[in-house]
Amino acid sequence: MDFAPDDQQRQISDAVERLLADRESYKVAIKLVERDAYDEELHQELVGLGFFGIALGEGFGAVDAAIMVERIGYGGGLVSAGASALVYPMVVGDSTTETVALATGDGILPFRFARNASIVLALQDSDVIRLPLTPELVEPVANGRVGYPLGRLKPDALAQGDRLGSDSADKMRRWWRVSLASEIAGAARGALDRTVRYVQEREQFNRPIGSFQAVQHQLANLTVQVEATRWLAYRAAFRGAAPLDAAVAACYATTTSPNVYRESHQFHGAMGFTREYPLHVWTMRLLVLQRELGGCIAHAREATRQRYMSERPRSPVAAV
Amino acid sequence: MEFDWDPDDAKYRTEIRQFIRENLPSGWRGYGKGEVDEYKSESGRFARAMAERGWLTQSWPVEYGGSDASGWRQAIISEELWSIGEPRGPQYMNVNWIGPAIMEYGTPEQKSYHLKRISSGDVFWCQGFSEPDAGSDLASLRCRAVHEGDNYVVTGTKIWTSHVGLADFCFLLVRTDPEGPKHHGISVLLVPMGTPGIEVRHIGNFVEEQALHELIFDGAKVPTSCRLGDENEGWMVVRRALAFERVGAAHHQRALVSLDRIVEYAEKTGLISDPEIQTCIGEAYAACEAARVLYYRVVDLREKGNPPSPDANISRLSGTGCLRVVAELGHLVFGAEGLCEGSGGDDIRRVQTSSVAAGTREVQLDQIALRYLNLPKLR
Repeated sequence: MDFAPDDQQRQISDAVERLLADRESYKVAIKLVERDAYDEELHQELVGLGFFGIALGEGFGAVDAAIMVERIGYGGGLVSAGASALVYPMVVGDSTTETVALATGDGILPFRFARNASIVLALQDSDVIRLPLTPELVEPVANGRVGYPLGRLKPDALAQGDRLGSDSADKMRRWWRVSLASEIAGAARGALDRTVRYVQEREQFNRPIGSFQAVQHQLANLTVQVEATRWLAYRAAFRGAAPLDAAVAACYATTTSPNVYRESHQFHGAMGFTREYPLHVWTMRLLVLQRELGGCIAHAREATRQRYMSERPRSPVAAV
Repeated sequence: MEFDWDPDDAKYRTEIRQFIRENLPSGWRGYGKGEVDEYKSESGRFARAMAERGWLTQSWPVEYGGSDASGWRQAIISEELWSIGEPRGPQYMNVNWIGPAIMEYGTPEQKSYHLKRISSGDVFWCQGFSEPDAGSDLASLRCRAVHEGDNYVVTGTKIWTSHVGLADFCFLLVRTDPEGPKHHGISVLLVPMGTPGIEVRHIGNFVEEQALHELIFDGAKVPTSCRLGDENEGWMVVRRALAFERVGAAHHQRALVSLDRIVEYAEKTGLISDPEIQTCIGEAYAACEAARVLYYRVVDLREKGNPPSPDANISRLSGTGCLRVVAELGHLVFGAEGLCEGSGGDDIRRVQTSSVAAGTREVQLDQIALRYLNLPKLR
């Protein structure tokens, strides 16, 4: 067991973090999301650096991709990293440099990047439909111009898509969970770090508000949750999105990140409600991620099903 | 990054499980701790059997009878033993930090006398730390030790002490200098429990009957040769001993054992078909796995030689937290039948201790806020 990133993983993590910081990608995101637009330039930079080939690349793998996805989330990059660089390659078996969106059922429920993506993978009960996306297949959705740009497919849009075959639905569900956990890990960490910085600087009653114990204890609790979210996501990626690990990672991420959302906004006060202040780049994305793929209830029940309700004999936790 | 056990460690776990099955009856749920003598003799038997296999103090340095086993092996021991109710009994404390404290600060005589007994599974210790007026603020302790010839004369009261009924020695914190800053006048004494002038009073409680006692020192004479480390340096001794405890209790595994029993009960009563219960079970399971990864992370950091850090506080909060989540689920699932002793459904009565003892939840949160998040102290 080894929790330290190897040199390659550290390079990937540093490079992505530096790229987004240099570009101030979270500020770019604020402007773009107001127009339901996408950070094409960041996307192309990531393509150019080879990051979209990481999941299946020789000498690389899913953990490297999960690290990248988490760091992009942390940096506030408005790109479809998880779907394009992790889920798509693991489901389809081939990398893409396209912008991928993920939908469920007929794509009628609003989903991320519907208006920006050139491919959608739609998860049905027992199959996945892949459809090249063009604007006339998509209806826009107004969602307050924060978080992610959303859209939905027009009725029967999927009739023109390809079916990917029998085990693709299971793969998509599992890898989507890993991707979600990684994206939530990054967004939650971004919100938490921003909040810690804010309470260190903001003074009221002649002292930083971060010197009050009530504030400190909440943030300390969130730290525990954010740390565990990240490690569970990486572990699930390491285990090839094994059904129980993927469900556990997604369950924990979606169950605990609402606390990050709530307390980040609580401690920022009214400043955190503005478009100009960047907190919404992380917090409003958490709202979308928490509702994807059935949300915490679906992930929790899947974890229970995998651990306790499947056919095989249950492995004992203890010797007696 | 790697998240699986290496094959040698996995094999070691299998050996430990086999040993457990050979030395404990099937379905063992813990000793009847109400019977102190039975607890002492049964747990002593298990600890000695482990010592004979070379497992009791394997993590100790070779020069003290150990085999320098890795923190990962200790983690496996904690997971396998703590989770089923700690068959080593109170001796696990000796191994984890009392022995190491004596290794680091002991005189040659103290080392040669105590370490052999600890590593043979042959001696019981209790801790004299908290006082009625010194709990979370342990450094404000007042139990006084005054020089009289070659002895200290000890006067004061310790409270909440566990395992007193069977203890041979007490790891006692005393105040040797009442002037000056409170952290600087504390010493550690290794006190034989048979010393005259020590009175034990049991404190009735509903969490574990033998867990809580008062220890009253009324002019007990303890030789100065029993002092561990330098006079007035005791705070450092204790902090280092506790901070360097490489591996804490594997609460996540204990919680998962309880969760398994909750699910079995839910299957028996049909409650498992309730989708809400399925959701709660999944969330509880995830909380335990979160505690697991944070626990392993601390083991990994220590194994790589990193100094103690607030990651340990993070891990502890997560571990005690998942115990609570599981106990609260048991509270829902077991219903009235679970209120009975021995049903396995009354963990809710006991789980509160883990967020109070050995550094309260609030102290853990303070440490994370101040030392991990670097938030400013309120003066």
